[in-house]
Amino acid sequence: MMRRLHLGLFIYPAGHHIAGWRHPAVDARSIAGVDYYVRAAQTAERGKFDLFFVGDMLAAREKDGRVIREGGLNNIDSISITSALSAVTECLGFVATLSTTYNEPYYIAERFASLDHISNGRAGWNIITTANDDAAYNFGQKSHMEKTLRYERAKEFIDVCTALWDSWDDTALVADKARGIFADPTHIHPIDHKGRFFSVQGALGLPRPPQGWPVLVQAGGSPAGVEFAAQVAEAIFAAQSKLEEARAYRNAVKQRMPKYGRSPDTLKVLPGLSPILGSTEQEAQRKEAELDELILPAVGVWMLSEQMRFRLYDYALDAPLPCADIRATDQAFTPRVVSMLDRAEREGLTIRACVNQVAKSRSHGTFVGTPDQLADHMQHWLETGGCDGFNIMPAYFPDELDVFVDQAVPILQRRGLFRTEYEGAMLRDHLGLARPPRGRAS
Amino acid sequence: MHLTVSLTGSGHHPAAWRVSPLPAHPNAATLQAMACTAERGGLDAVLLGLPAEMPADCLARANTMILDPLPLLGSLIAVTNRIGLGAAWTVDYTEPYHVARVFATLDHLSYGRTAWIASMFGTASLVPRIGRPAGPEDPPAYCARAGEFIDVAKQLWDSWEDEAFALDKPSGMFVDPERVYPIQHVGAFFSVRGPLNVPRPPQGNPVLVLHDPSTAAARPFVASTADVVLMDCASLPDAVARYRDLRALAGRDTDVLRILANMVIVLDESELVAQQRAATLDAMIPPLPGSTARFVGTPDQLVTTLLVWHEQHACDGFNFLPAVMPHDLDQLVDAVFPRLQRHGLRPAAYPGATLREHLGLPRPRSQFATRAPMGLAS
Repeated sequence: MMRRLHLGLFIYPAGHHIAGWRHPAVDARSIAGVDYYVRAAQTAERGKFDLFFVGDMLAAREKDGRVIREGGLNNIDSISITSALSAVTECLGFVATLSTTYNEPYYIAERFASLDHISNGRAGWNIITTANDDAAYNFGQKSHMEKTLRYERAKEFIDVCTALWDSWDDTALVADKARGIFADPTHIHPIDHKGRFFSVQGALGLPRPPQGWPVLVQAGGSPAGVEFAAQVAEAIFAAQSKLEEARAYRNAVKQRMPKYGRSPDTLKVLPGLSPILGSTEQEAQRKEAELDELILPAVGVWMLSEQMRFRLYDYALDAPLPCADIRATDQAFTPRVVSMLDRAEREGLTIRACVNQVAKSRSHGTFVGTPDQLADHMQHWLETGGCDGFNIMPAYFPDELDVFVDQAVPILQRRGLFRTEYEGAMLRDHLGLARPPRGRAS
Repeated sequence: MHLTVSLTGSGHHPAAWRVSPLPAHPNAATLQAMACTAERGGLDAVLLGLPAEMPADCLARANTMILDPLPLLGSLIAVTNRIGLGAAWTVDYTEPYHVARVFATLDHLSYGRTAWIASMFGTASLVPRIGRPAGPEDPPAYCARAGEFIDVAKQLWDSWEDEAFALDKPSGMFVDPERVYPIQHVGAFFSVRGPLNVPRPPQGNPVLVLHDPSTAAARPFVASTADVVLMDCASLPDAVARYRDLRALAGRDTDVLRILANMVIVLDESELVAQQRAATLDAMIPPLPGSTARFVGTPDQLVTTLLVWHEQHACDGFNFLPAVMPHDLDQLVDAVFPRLQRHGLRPAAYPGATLREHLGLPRPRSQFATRAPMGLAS
């Protein structure tokens, strides 16, 4: 059978294009209330999306101690939104993002078990270790935990959570009203974990989640992130914008899976993709130009500086990106940055050109064209091993999501590349992932 | 008279699950239906995650499961329109930044209908699960930490002035940086730079609910800090005395404090049936000898009781704990509330849009709004 695409909707309160909220069609005042998100989730469900994805940030976006004026995007709590939307949808899955660096495993295990019960098996957890240094100062730390240590902690964190989710046998909840037996304690197995970071004794306060475990999602692109993904991730939100890079990344993770006793088929890789669609190519390009005109250079330079961890504020906008100076800082660059530097060197890009790229989609993949052309693009990536699907990142809401659902999804469906109806009720069903048997955790 | 109801999966009585027709497995649908019932009755708020009176380690016999109240609150937002939504989150084992951010989000999503029930002292069972002590054991020291926690959360909510969420399309100003303040908090227990990364909540600060503590040493802290106090008193004289104490200890204008008496209810149109139901439940699992008021009787009798408590200045209202769901909640909404309205004790419709408006509590101004912009930068 032909492989089919998996689709996520990545929600970003003001749109993924940094100036999307300035578009005349956007009711910017509405972006904090639940109705805005209900509309997006119901549209995604109408489009038979696999999942609705929400990110996480633990500090305000700042430059030199000031919050960013042009788009200090409010990052609202992902569990709150997804739990709200689970009540007004039936099949759509929900992936919420929480950090393993600034939380306790027992709380998080209970929170995701609850989200999975509340949504009847539609929860996923995007596991992050939190990349921004500023978060540390909001949690009483002098500095952010070093990356290797963060991933070590994350692995132990996940081990504790999966053991807690497995602490109830699927048969532990008896609920025999006549005999008055609520649960069978012989089927509840308290864990006794003592590790480098955590000491956790006891059982979860809730039965095993409907999906066994929520779907484990990850987004790390660094070498440590790739290794971690190969160990635990069932889905990856990837950031490669070029097909060759995406293919290399996907292969790199899948090749590492067998050494952890995992089949490469049990991982779905979804790169971000921000489409701007028009009925003709010219119309799409005009829409893109309209949006790009709304970008204030200051915010783009800030975004680029943050991403490169290099202050570009004193450079002329039309000067070439100072690639050599940036490389000389000798950091562990993210794949997105490496990709941008390579391209800037190859094509002699100016700072302004890079700014536009970052501001459109934070350097995730973009596509400008007709729905048919977009379907070609997605099909090509799928068939050449670049991905298992995409996390769709509309430039602004709701119009750009509506266009994708109403015009691109039917084409993908006609080509047999995407489902026309949900075939199961749980997120694992949509993604073709098996329910983990109890006790798989090591 | 202010009225709230505490929602649990099968009811407040430890044996409720054996007689309730609701499914035993944890799920949101039954609580969503209950929240809609409560909204139909015009209650000020539903409260989630309040500890039930369960014998310890009795999972074999009683439904002690509690869904995490935060996602549960989230799941009620889009299926209700007016009613307030409160959820418990302990001050132990978490960080003020998390609490401030989650409640700011919930308050925005719900257009200003949330309350944070800041639970204290009740986390002994969590100690082995988290792997370290909860905090100071001595009540004054515990309260000092809780007080700092709550203060930091309020500072974070206030770290955006109301006008900071500018969204000015022509100038491209999404946020006004002059009106967002790093709080730079350094205290005995917490060190938090801020600002929050969510705009100021619609209510300014979500409503703060605290339990009247069983230890008297913590009472001054609770009375002086909370917007709403939930009080456990088994009898009318106890409640009258406690209500007077709490108001005296508040040390501020008591117009901005609401004291609600917890009351377990077993309701039926016939007093005999109500008593038989209570006896059946108690025979299955005897409730812990508690200090919470318990009412067993008819809706008319309950109205009389509420009126007496009200007239005797025993409280500002009640937080009901229905013994069995949905029966006792349905009785409350269908038989008790219409009578209270006829007595002029409850409005016919919600008076406002936010929970603060339902409770008649003022919306606080940002504590940073009076300062010179960015005076904190230095």
